[in-house]
Amino acid sequence: MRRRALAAAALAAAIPAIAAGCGDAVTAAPPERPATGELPARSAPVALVPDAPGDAVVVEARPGGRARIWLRVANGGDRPRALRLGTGPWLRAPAAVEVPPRQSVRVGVDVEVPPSATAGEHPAVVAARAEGDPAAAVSVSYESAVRVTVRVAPRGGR
Amino acid sequence: MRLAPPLASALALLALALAPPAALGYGTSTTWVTGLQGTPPGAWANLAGAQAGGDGDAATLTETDAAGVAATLQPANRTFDADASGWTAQDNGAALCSVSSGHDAGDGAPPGSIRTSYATLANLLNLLAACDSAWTSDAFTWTGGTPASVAFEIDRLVDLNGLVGLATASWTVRLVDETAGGSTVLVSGSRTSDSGWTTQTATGLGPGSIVSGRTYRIRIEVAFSSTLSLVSGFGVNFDNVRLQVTPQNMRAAGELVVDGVPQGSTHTLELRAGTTGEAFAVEVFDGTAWTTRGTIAAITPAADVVTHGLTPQEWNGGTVRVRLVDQQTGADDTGDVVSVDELRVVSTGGISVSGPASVTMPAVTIDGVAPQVSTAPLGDVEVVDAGGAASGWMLSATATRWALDGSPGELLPAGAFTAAPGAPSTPNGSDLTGVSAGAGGTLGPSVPIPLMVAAPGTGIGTYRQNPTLALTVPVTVRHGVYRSQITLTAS
Repeated sequence: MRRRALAAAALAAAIPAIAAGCGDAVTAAPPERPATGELPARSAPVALVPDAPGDAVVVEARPGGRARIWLRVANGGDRPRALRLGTGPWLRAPAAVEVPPRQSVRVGVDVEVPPSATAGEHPAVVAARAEGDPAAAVSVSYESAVRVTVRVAPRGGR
Repeated sequence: MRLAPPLASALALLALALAPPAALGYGTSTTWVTGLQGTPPGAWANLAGAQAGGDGDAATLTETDAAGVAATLQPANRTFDADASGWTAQDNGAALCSVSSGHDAGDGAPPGSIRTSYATLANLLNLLAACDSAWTSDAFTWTGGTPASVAFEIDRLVDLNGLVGLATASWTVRLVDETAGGSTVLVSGSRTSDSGWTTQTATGLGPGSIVSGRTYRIRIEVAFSSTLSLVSGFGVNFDNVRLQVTPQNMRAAGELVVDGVPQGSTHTLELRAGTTGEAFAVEVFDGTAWTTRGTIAAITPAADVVTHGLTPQEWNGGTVRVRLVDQQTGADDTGDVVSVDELRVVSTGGISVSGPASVTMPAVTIDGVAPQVSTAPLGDVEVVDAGGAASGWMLSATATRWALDGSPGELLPAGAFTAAPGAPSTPNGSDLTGVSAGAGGTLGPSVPIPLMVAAPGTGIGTYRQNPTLALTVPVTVRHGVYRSQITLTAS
């Protein structure tokens, strides 16, 4: 009710918005957030790479078949952090992985090719995501991704 | 069969943003241990055993005696400076002679010794008058394990009143094992004339002469014989009785070197090892000092796994130095062995991205006449290409539609949010050749806009981009707090 009343108070009213720390809708800052006037907290470096030399992963499977690929999630920061993983079609990865400071963690990604898949190369992507400040009005997240090519063999082929 | 991505809706935008194929780094490089050094103390063997994991083969570091632990001297009263405390004497006289034992405050070096004196009675038939005595020290127990060495010395003086060949004084010094029984002769001797202070040293003693846990005493047996009648003042003095037991000091401080570790966004040290007994600290060198980064305590065949993210200083230009140091202090007679099943450094290459976790857009006031524009710098977004392959990269951005807090259906226009990149910069002198600002443009949820680009063959180093964000707020909009989520991707 209060919000509607304020909205009716018209265009001359300020839009406190858009800014973290302004307006009654902005929630309390988490402990690591800086005080007003300070620079915002920084998100430490994140990278997702194949667990092997090279910048991409190629995996072969038959229609209806399965395979597993291995990646490395790297945390360049000085604190442990949970990084979320996202995948495209046919790929399944853990939802998130905890990575110690300045380390990388090996992660297995399952590849499940549908029985109806056509032969050929099917591009996909796996991404690691460092979330921004959830309490901020404008959070900034960072991603690193690995390109995965699923090479589907012809049905009945070798 | 499940084909959909497992992530919840929050990452749906992520998948869209990632739709364009990305270059995405140069993978992972594993560098195995290349060298063993830094001993003694300790002895390395079988480097190859640490160059592959889980194969049942291991490099071993065996403790060796580093010496340096002070020897123990027994018995407690060795110099008799003030008295003969701790020692007892048993004098065995006979029909023609007598013996008496006691402290001699005037003789010795320094003054003070124990003495057994001999006298004969009337011996009209010139029979052999033989008497003896025995000094026994207080007991002592050795608990320092198998010693590194055992030594014994004693000073003795023979006083036969200047006579030669008319009396005999003999002595035997023994190490008596009160626990197991039996004794070991340390030194012995016999004189038929005077002999000044002389040091006698035992020979043939070794680490096995003293057994840890057993109790011992020193016993000095003295015997006199003479055919003379009515003589006195003969005697033998003893001083500075020293049984020296030196404990072992089994130690190891062995270094493992991983050379040729490439540059990368992270370097993860992975060590798998077990010990036969005492724990070993895992230390890493940072160019100045060693810092403990883990401990190996599992008893073989079990093993501990130590992982540690190396700092840039510990990466040390590609030469990573790891040291295993035993943790026990004081006497130690056990040559423990630490077995290193594997030691490697896993380097991730490719491109990493970092920057502010939020941005503050200034509030605007709607005047009902014209749209209002809020602008703010995003802050330095940093792209690091430490891979060395110079494949080029791109920093791009997407953003969700601005939505009124509490009313997700209230959206600002799709084209309201823009980003204008500035000139790339570098904090450390990285080569800016080939690194340029992207075109920028309207920030939307599905089509990434380029903010900074490194052409193929360039962009190795650290680069920063600080784009200016602008949000155009229409005239007709509900007031309140609006939110958006920006996603930056380096690929």
